[in-house]
Amino acid sequence: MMEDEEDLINAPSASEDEDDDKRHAKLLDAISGLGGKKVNKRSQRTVPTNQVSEFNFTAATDDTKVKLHELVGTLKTSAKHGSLKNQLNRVQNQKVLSVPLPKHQKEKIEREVAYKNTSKEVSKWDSVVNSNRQAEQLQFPLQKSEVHLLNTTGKFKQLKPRTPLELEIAAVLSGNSDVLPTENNELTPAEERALAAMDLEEAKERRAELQKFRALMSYKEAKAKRQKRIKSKKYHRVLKKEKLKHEKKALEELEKNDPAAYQEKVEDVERQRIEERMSLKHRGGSKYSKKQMLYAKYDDQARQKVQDMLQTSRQLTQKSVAVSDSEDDEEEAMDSEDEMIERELSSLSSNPWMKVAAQPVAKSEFSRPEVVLNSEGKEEEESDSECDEDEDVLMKMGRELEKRQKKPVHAHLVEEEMEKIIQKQGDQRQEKEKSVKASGKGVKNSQNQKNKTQNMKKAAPKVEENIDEIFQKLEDKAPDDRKKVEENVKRDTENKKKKKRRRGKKKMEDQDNEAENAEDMNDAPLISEGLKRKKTLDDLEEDEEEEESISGRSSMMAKRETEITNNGSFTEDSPNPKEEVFVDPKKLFTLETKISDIANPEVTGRDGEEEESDGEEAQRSIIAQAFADDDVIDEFVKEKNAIVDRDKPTDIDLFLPGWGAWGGESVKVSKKKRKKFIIKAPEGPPRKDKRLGNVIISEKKDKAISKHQVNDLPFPYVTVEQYEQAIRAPIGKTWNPETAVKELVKPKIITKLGGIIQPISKADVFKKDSKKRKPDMGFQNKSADTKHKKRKH
Amino acid sequence: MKIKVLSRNPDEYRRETKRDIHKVQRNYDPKLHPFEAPREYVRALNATKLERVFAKPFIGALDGHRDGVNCLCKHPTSLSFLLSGACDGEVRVWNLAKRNCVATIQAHEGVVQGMCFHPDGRSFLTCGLDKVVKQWGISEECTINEEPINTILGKSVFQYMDHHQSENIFATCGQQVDIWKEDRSEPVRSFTWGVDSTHHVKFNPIETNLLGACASDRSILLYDLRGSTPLRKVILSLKSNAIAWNPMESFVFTAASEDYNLYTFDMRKLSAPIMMHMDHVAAVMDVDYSPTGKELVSAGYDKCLRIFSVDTSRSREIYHTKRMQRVRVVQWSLDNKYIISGSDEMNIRVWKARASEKLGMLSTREKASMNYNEKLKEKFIHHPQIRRIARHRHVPRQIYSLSKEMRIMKESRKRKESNKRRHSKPGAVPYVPERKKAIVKEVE
Repeated sequence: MMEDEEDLINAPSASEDEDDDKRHAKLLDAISGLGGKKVNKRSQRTVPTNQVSEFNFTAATDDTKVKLHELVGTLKTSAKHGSLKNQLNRVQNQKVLSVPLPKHQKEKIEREVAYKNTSKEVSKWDSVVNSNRQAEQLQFPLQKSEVHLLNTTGKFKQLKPRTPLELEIAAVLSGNSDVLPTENNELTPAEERALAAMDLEEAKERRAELQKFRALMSYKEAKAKRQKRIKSKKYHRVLKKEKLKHEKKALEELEKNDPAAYQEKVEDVERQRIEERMSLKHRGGSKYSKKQMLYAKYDDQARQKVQDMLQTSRQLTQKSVAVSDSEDDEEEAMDSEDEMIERELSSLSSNPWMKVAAQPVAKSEFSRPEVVLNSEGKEEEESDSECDEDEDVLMKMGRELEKRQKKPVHAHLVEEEMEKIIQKQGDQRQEKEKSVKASGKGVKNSQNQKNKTQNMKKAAPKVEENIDEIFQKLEDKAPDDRKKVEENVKRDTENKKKKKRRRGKKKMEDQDNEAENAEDMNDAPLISEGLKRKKTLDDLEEDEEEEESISGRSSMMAKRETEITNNGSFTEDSPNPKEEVFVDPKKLFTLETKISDIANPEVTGRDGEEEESDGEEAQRSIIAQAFADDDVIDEFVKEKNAIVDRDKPTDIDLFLPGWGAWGGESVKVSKKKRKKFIIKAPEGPPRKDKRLGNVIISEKKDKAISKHQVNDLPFPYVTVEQYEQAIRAPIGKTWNPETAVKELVKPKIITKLGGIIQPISKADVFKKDSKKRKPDMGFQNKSADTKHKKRKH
Repeated sequence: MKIKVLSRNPDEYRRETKRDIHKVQRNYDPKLHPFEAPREYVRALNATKLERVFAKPFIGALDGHRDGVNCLCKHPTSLSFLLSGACDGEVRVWNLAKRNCVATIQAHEGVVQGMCFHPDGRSFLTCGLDKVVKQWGISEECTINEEPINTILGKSVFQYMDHHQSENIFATCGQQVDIWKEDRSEPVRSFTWGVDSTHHVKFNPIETNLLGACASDRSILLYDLRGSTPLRKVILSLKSNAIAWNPMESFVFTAASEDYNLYTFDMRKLSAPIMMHMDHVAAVMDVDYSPTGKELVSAGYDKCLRIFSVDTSRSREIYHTKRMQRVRVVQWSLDNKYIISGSDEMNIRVWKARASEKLGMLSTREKASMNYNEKLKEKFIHHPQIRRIARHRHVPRQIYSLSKEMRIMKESRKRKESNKRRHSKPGAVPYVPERKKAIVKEVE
């Protein structure tokens, strides 16, 4: 069987010993036949079918099989089929392909190649990225939008009506014939229609008509002007009378024809009546009438005039029939006139105050009993209304105060205040009413009047009182608030102090831990996080050292500071910033200015050398002149001595009474023994100002300033001088011209308000390349690509 | 005796009209200004204090979701609109300017896993836990049609999706990373590498054919749309939750890791990150770059947001409120002014990107003085008082104590290492930079 199979495989390739093979095959056949099995029975195809089983193919053992070399052999001899020959040659020369790599290895290689290519492609951004990183200023969005002019029509086309109002307007506009339909048309449809409708004759006629009208108008105007200029009083009087007559006639006509208009007229008359009653124009109030009254004694004409005036006033104040008709009730007619005035005025006038005042008057029970016609009553009412007015004014003031004092607490205080006042006012009114009630209906006027006058008297000062009260109360409240705030502040500070104390303990523990942290300086966090919220400036200024302890760097600093304090012999209690400062005016000391070092203030914590400036000589002489009379020098010497004494290292006294000897009250210790225990401080280096008579050089580190000084040289700087120089160069407007300041303070990033910042675009940066490049992906949508480009450009 | 009297030409000090500015004569001679440095120092101090006093970054909260906010999506063409997807499958459109909800749709059954806008802003895609991707039309006023334009049924759950910067291509991730075209229902390409599922995928906004993805085998993967295979994989010590590409630097991306840190990589050199951003005290859930590419914001599982400058390892700002729970997502608005965060307790919060910045238009004088103050702060930042004030931040007790704990742990580890080094052969314990420690290996 094995052989057989071998044979089967090899069959097509066998060519040389055909005869042998044939014989061999026959033999095999015979053998297989003997065994009763037919291994490779050739398929007998009788019916033509499409499907042929691949298992049924067997090696062609026929002689009819065509071999390749036989075919090719003929090619050699023939001159045709050149290309076929070439192909054959190529096929024969080709080497056999090696076995393909396993999938995972193949993919790995593919990945590597792809990654390399992508990295290379991405690397072309290097220069762009670097320049952007180093740029002093970047303006976003990076892509400059194209500048183009928008004309109104173009803009208008973009607008599409959306809201209902816009839609409505659009509908109106589109339907209107007064709108230009297109840009090219010069006339609107309406105009065109008008033009078409009007022919020349008509137009001329119309023009003539218009001219006539205009002429008439101007004539009338001129006439009126002329008449107005006539100074004759008689003429005017006549004119007026005529006018009145006409009016009367017209009024009568109106009554018949148009009752509504008539009513209006009547109301107008009524109004005139009221006005007349309010004023004393015709009753000796005006300057003119007073004069006339004076002359009336001697002059008949004047007397007549006065009479006339009274007559007119009477006429005017007479009630018209129409009005009295409406008020049929006698009682109401009896109502005091001033009330009427009030009511009417309130109904007529547009003055809101009057309206307000009128309402409380319209009461039923407490109305006055009898017809009381007196000016005082009126005055009283007026004063009352004044009262109300005052109230309103106060309200206003209150509101303004509210606004000014923006504190909500105050606001509601003021409101309360106002409410109280209003309540009081209400009480007052009630009282007044009660008094009126008490007086009863039948009580005489005089009593009534008395009450009223009393009330009046009361009312006036009460208003004043009210004002005073309000101010006082407000003032009272304000300090109260202040006190509260102060109390709060105090409480806060106390709390803070407590916390500080508590934290002080913690800090000591922390410092040990954090000392180790000091090594990685760069690792220090940019922000220091605490549990306390700092809201005010005072908060920010406080708890400074506790903050510092968080980072390692600061702990180092703290250590250094403690060292300094330990070494230094003098410690000064820093004054509490919260403490109040009392300045005794008598103890003011003549001030000495030290100009020398001002120009170059120390920025870092190192000791600065004294530098002699040129101006010092002059300065000194000036000072000498200025303080010629004062005993400055003596004071200075004293001060210097004090400072020298203070800065001297002090001896350490280790003496303990009773140590190694008897101690007690009466026991005297010998000086010698005492001296033994005193360790003398070594004399330090000589003071720098020892030889300089009138200079004090402080060699101690100033704690107050050192708090503000930089301890370590910041990163980009190499030397202290460099850094100091950088700090010294001012950037403000006070020291630099405007243009320089602009350059100095320009921000690193500028963004446009409300502008979208798109990512940096490849097409914009590599404009030349983008033209050459083809779409990257096979399935890329070309149209989308072009669209995108269009948008970008 | 001759008396000298000051006399000046009135033209030099008088204004021609009332509207003219007053001329101020200045002599810039430095000798006349002896106290310039101290004066500027005081100004800087004041500016710093005022900055801290005015630092009120929280603008407002958008509440309305009935489940935790799982994803946010910025509108590509409008600054005032924002999409948010919640864990109950609801998608809301917000108007940030008015701080109200414009539209609501029930987009999916189960969590909305990912959302992305089409770059023209007229449609957006959502994918959910229900194995469906839906495309929704959205109008200019951000009203949404109730019915999706397009629905694609997937074979497996989609974990996240992102849209191509400009073309009609979007990518989803889940069992494999699929690349889709919007008008086809079958992915045009899918990438697999191993059997691990990916849970985050982001298109590079500049080199738009590149993709970055995070897989659950703690790796970060890079893909190229043009090839049929992924590019490279880098395995970190812990899983990365999200990545973000720098919109100004094509080869830089940042990954938010579970190990409390963020790692910024150069995609050409994945063996070590170029920067490690630390300060979080819990896993970092999301990260987004500012559109200027200079800063990045991260959302932490420690209930806070942190803002980092790209070139510093420590955060410059921490945002937190008492009510804000675990922050899931964070986005930096496209005008570089606001930060939007979505958190577990169903709220979306809007923050200012610079805490003490004044919003709205500034007059030129205001602008000038702001610039000057900024420069002063920068100039004097090394002075201890100013640094102290500028750095102070209030943090919740939890964060405070955790960061302290972490600091102690770190120190002890360091100490141990140095001890080891001291007691072993020189060179036996090499110095490994901190940022390199997180990288397990780079797989080609």
